[in-house]
Amino acid sequence: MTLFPTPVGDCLFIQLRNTSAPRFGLLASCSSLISALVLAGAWSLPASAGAETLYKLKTTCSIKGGQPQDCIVEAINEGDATIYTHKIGKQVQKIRITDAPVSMSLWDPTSKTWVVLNSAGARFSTNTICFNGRDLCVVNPNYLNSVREEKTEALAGRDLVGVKFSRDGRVSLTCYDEACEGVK
Amino acid sequence: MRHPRTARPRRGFGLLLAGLLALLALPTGAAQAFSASVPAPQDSQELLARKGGGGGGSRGGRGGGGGSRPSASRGASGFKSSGSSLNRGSNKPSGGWSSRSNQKGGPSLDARRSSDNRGNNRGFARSDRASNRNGNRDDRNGNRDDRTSSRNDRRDDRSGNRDDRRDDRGQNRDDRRDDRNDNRNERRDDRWDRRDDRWNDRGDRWDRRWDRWDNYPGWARPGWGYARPWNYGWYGGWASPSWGWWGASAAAWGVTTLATAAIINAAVDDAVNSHTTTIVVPNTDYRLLYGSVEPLNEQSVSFSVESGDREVAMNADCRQGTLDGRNPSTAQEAELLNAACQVAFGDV
Repeated sequence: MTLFPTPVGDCLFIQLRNTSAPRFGLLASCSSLISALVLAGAWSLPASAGAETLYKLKTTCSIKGGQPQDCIVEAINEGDATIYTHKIGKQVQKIRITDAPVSMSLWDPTSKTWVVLNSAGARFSTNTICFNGRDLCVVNPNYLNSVREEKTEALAGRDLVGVKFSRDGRVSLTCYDEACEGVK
Repeated sequence: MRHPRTARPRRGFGLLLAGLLALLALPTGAAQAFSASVPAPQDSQELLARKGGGGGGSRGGRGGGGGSRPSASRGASGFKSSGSSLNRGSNKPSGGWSSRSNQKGGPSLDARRSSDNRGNNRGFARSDRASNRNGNRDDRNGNRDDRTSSRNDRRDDRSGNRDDRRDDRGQNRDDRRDDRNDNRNERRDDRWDRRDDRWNDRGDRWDRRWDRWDNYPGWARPGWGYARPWNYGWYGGWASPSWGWWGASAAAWGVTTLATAAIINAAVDDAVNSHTTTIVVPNTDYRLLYGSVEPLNEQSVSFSVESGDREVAMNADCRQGTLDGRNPSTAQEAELLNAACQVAFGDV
């Protein structure tokens, strides 16, 4: 079953990320070394005051539907948000999630801003959470165990949960199981 | 400049009409957008999980989801739970945080296997059957009352005619018959009351089980084997158990093997999919509360088990093969030990 790999969703994601492309263009053309340094710097950014590390998880990730790769997820509470840093080889991707209202965003290291996600999906039976279609998928039973215990009634008997976000970052749609197949 | 006002109302009406048409068209479009092909419920194929799906029917049939849940005094909007079902995921689950994940096949939003959906359908089908059962029972009760009323009417008519013909004997006989009828009705009422009490008790038990399933740890869900957060533990991988006492005891009990990991795992899968709190331990009358399984260290585990109407908390040492510090005394106890250890530490 395919969840959210829609042209609309992917296009939106690309557009959002490309808003900073002109500024990044020169920098990226300098050398991959700089990019690596930027990414390494992002990984080693010191946690802000009051940050609390929840866990570090050795697991597997995949990028844009590619092959599973070893990765490390570090979950840190920072204020009213939880930051999930995914280190996949030399790449680092950070996802910021807040409650009330629920919002998810991806760290853009070039613009140094959090860019709102289009969608997220979770499959409980495979312990997988994916962001922006299948741009980033992670096996993270910690996240799903926590969600399962907090959303007991809503998730009882559910396996697949999908969420779409509007451009302002608010949840515009939530679907479950078979209904997610009809979401485009 | 000829009567400009006459055009405005028409334009306004046209906009209003267009808006109305758009509103009327919206549900159709929305329905198409959200059209989902829900597979028809399939017949339940009970594996080993205890039949507990009736809990759903019980909750529905007992008026508002059972007495054990607090009911709001305000009217329900129906939208209370309509928000996102994902959140920060930052609250530590009861099983703790895992530091390592060994999910086979890597991340995937694809369904793991078709049996997952079958399990969901099974749950729905079972709830439907439970509702139908309750409904049919009510219908039968109604028919029975109707038949009883008709019978009483006919009997009263016959009694009246008989009284006219045999006034001298009839009075005493009527009195005796009335007494018998009264006694019979009282006994019937008592039976109904007792049956209602039993149904209520059963409903309460179902509610308690349902609430307990709701409160099971986060890992007790589809994918439980990889969601177990402890990621350690010693167990099995044997053709026959390597416990020191096994050979002689197994010979004495007349058994050669215990339930396989596949059987126990399938039982837990089935129970998870049907929101059932227990699995029947293979070849026993024990019901293991699989969500209560929790490692104490790398080789020991605590768990709860139902035996008859009792629930007992026990410890098992999976490496030594002991239950509460002693060797199992029956094959059933050995099966219980094996099942608890498999749920805690076994391969999936």
